[in-house]
Order: sequence, then C-alpha cells, then structure tokens
Amino acid sequence: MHSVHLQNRMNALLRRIYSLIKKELLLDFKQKHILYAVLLYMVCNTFIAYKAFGDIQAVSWNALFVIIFLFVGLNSILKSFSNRFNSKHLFYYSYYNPLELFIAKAIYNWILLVILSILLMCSMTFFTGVGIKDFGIFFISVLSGSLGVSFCFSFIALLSVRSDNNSTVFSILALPIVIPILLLMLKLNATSLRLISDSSINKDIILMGGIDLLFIAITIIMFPILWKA
Amino acid sequence: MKLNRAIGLIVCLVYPYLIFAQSNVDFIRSTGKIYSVVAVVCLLFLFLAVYLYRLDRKISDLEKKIKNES
Amino acid sequence: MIKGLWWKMLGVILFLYVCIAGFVVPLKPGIYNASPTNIKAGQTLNLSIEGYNSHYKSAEELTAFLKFDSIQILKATDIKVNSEQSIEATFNIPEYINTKKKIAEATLIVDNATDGYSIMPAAVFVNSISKTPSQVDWNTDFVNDLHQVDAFAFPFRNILYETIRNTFFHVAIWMSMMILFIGALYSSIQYLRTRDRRHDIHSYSLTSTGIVYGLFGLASGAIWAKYTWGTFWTSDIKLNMAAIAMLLYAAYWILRSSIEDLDNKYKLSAIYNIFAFVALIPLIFVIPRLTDSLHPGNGGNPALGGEDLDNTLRMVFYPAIIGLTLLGVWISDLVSRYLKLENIIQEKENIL
Repeated sequence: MHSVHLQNRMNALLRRIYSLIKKELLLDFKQKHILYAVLLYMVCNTFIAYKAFGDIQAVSWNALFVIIFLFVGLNSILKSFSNRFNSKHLFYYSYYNPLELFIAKAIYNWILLVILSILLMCSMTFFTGVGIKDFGIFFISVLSGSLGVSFCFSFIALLSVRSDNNSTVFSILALPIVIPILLLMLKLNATSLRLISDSSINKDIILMGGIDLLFIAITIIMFPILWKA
Repeated sequence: MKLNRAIGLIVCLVYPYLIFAQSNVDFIRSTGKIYSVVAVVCLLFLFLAVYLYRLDRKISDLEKKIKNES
Repeated sequence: MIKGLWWKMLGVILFLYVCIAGFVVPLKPGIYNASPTNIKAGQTLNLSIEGYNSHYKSAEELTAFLKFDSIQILKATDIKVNSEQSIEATFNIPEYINTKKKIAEATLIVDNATDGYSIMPAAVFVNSISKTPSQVDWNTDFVNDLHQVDAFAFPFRNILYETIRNTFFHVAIWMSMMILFIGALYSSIQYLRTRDRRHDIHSYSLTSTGIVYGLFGLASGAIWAKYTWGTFWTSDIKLNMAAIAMLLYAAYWILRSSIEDLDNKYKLSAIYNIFAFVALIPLIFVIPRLTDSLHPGNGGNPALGGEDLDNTLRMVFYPAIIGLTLLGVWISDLVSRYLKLENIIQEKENIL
C-alpha cells in the first residue's frame, strides 16, 4: 500500500519535471536567437581551431573537442540562467517547486549539451576529416560527461548569479570542478578514436558514473540552502 | 649596508655549489641526497614564516587603526 | 578553536621530535652501487660493491648472493674486503639459468652479522645464456644463512636514499592539509546551520592555512621529484590532481573577495567550500588510484603502509601528521582571532 503511494508520488514528480523540461524547450524556441548564438559560437570555434591548426590529427582533434565542448557548455548554461533570472520570470519560480525547476533546468541543459556535442562532433569531422570509430563509447562518454557537467555548471551558475551576477566568478569556480570529468572524457574519446586501446574501459565508465552521481547528489542536497539565500 | 648583506647571502648560498661543481656529485646529491631533505625543511620554515609575516603586517595595520581612533 | 595551551605545546613538541628524530635516526645499511651490471653466462664475475652505512670490514660472516628466483641462488665464492663501505665479490655464473626471458635479472644480497642482510634489486643482468639445460649446484639453504638484525633505523631504498626522510614533511603535510580542509568543511556546515559568524571565520582561516600547506606540499614535492625522478614537475597524475585541488581552493578565495554583500559572502563561500570538498574526493582519492603513477600506492606501485612505510617510519610519520596539524590549527586560530578583531572594529566604524 505504502509502496504504491510512493510510486504514485514518484510518477507525479517525474511528470512535473517532464512538463517543466517541455516548458524550457518552448521558452528556448520562443527566443531562438539564444540557441542560434550558441550554435554560431560552436561553429566559429571549430572553424578557428581548424584554421589555426591547419592539419588536425586525432590527438589534437580529441583535445580540441573537449575544450570547445567545455566552452560551449559554459556559455550555454550561463546564458540559460542569467537571462531568465529577472523579474519577468519570477512568477514562474514562485509557481513551481524550485528544486523541481532546478532539476528540470539541469536535465534540459544536459539534453542540450548532448545535442550540441554531437553537432560539434559532426562539424569537426566535416572540417578535419578525423572521424569517430567507436560510436558506442563516444556516446557513453558524451552522455555521462554532459550529465555531470550540466549539473555542476547549473549549480555554479546559480551560485554566481546570486553573487552579483558575475560571469567571471562563474568560469573561475566552474572550470576546476569539472576537470576530473573532462580528463575521463578525454580518455574515453581517445578510446573511441582508437588512439589507445584501453582494457580498463569499464572501470573508467563506472568511475565517470560515480562522479556524476556524486555531483548530482551534492547539487540536490545543497540547492535548498542556496535557494534560501 | 643592505647591499653587503645581500652579497653575503648570495655568497653563502652559491659557495657550496662552487666547491662541488668540480666533483661528479653535486652538493645536494652528496651523502645520500640528504641535502634535499634539508631544502624541504627550509622551504617549510620559509612558507610558515612568510605566512606569519603577512599575518603580522595585517595585525600591525589593525593596531595602527586602533591607535588612530583612540 | 580549542581551549587551552596544551595542544599548542604538544604541536611544537611533536614537530621538534619529528625534526630531531627525522634527521638523527640513521638509514639501515644498504647497497649503494654494484658494477659491472652486465655479464655473459659462464664467466667469472668480479662484482665491486659499494655499501651505505655498512660495516663490511668489522663485520663477521660476510657473504654475498645473486638471486635469480626463489630456487636459483648463487653464493659468492670469494669476497675481498677493501674498506667498511667497499667489497669485491667473485661469482661463478653458470652456463645455464632457467628463465623465460633472454636476459636473466639477478638481485644482489649482501649479508653479515652486524648489518643484517641488504638487498639491491636488478643489480646484475646475465645475457647469452646457453639453451641446453644443465645441472647447476644452487645454494639451497639460503634463507637459513641470512642474519636478521633489528636496528632502530629507516629503511634503505635505492634512488631514494636519505630522501626517505621527506616522508615526514611532504607526505605528512598533505595529510594535515586534508585534516584542515575537513575542519573547514565542518565549520562551513556549522555556519549554514547556525548562521554564526564565528564558524565562517574558522572555516576561512582553516582553508587559507590549508592552501598554504598545499602549496608547500607542491613545492616540497617538486624538490623531492628533482632528486629522485629527475625533474621538478612530471605528468604524474597525483601531482596534477593536487595542483587542480589547489586551483579549486584558490577559486574559493577569489569567490570570497569578489562578493561585496557580507551575508551573501559568508553563505555562498560556505556552500562553495562544501562543494569544493566534495569535488576534491574524486580528485585526490579516486582517480589517482586508477591510473599509473610514480607515487607509491598507485597503479602497479606498492601501497603506502606495505613495505614502504615500516614501523620505524611510522613512529615519526604519525607524530609528524599530528604535529603539523596542530601547528596549522594554531596558525588558523591566530588568523581567525585577527579576523574577529577586524570585524569588531568595522562594526564600530559602521556605528560611528
């Protein structure tokens, strides 16, 4: 009886979060210029890297991918928080449970980051001709990497919005925290490019999942305290 | 006067290297690399001293402030 | 933070003990050098051995062995003693050695009654071994021959030599940095629970002392690396993770100085402090254990606590951690007292 009750509540929660994610998407499509700006930023970065390096080999492809991914993530997540935290949207936050809203936002950012990184991979492959060989590992790396990065960046973005809306503070705080995720992503991507043959790939994936869980748990625990500030 | 001291310090620091420059083993690597441990301990002392010096200066500022107020 | 004077005195006494014992206790006797390192099978090897802290001349029952594996052990036929630190041992290397590789690797063991036995791994390489098996008279009662001497001395390790004493400063400072950061974490949680300004001051001062300790850890590690691994900075995973950890806490410092509003500042820095500590856990404890590293306890290297940290080292290493932590707490106590006074003065100015 009790478990059924719990299940119903979980279902309701998931439905609410789902509807919130849909709302986020609608909001973003109303302001298409933000999405286009992020896309343009990404393609410009790829093009600059391509022209600067000239001939890009798999090793530098890997490094460039992770660096551009990082900056695209920084940009898009900071935008999604700073633009919407003005008075126009305040009613929106008083209407919903803030924690649910935050989770919805982070998940939305995760999906956005995954799509962006796949687009980034396509554009980089288009320019440089270096292709991913093992798509399974690549998708695992992108999915798990973006999950941790999006939760972490969302939390830090909220924190920096609270601290006089300072975007320099955001990048300073956010960059060192995600370094372990980026290092693991580099390793997994290197495997998917067949740069290295990694026998302990499962261990790396489990570790990545563990770090993601750690970040998700700490952001969800710390969020109410940050929100009350 | 200050210049003299600085020169003296530099001579003290460089002199051991000059002695051992001719031999195969340099000064720090002699006697089982013991002088690298000495360097580490000196560094620890230096770090703590600099940290305490900065604290000391801050407290001096505070003292000055109190004096001015009263 | 802690009442009374006793813990400050304890910190000073422990640190003094570490400085004195860390330098005065000698290293165990060991083999510093052995040459030549390469020999062909079937020849007679005149191995000149340089000892460290050894008593070859005055010691009795001096023997030397070459150990290829647990059964194939060769005893020196003749030993010529030159001085306390130098001997020349003669081995008759057999034509045939049972090994899977082309080159057989031998561990050199020198044993006497005063010093006990000392080991030098991979001292001699024997090449051009004959392929046809033949009977060799190996020394079988090898283990009974060795002398076990229990002296109060630190272990002798090749390449490390005396720098093993850096354990009491370099490794201990990392441990006490972690303890200080845990203290800062506790104070941050306390601040968020009680909103008492005191806890924020404690957290800030503990974190700044922790950062100074961490910077010293990096700098001392660089010196140690220079004289054992050859360079100040390597791409070793633990080193770089420690550097990233420092970046994390430097960001904490920048966050604090960037916020004007005081209440907001204390709160956000407390939240970030907790976040940074959680981010530190994978950096320092998880990732280095999964990747190859030059540090002990990582990848294929033996762990700290196994052969690397013997009982004599422990007797100085643990007091070093406690002593350095207490000193760190003392300094943070001074910092927090300064901050409290500054706070009082600022409040007075605001009233005026």
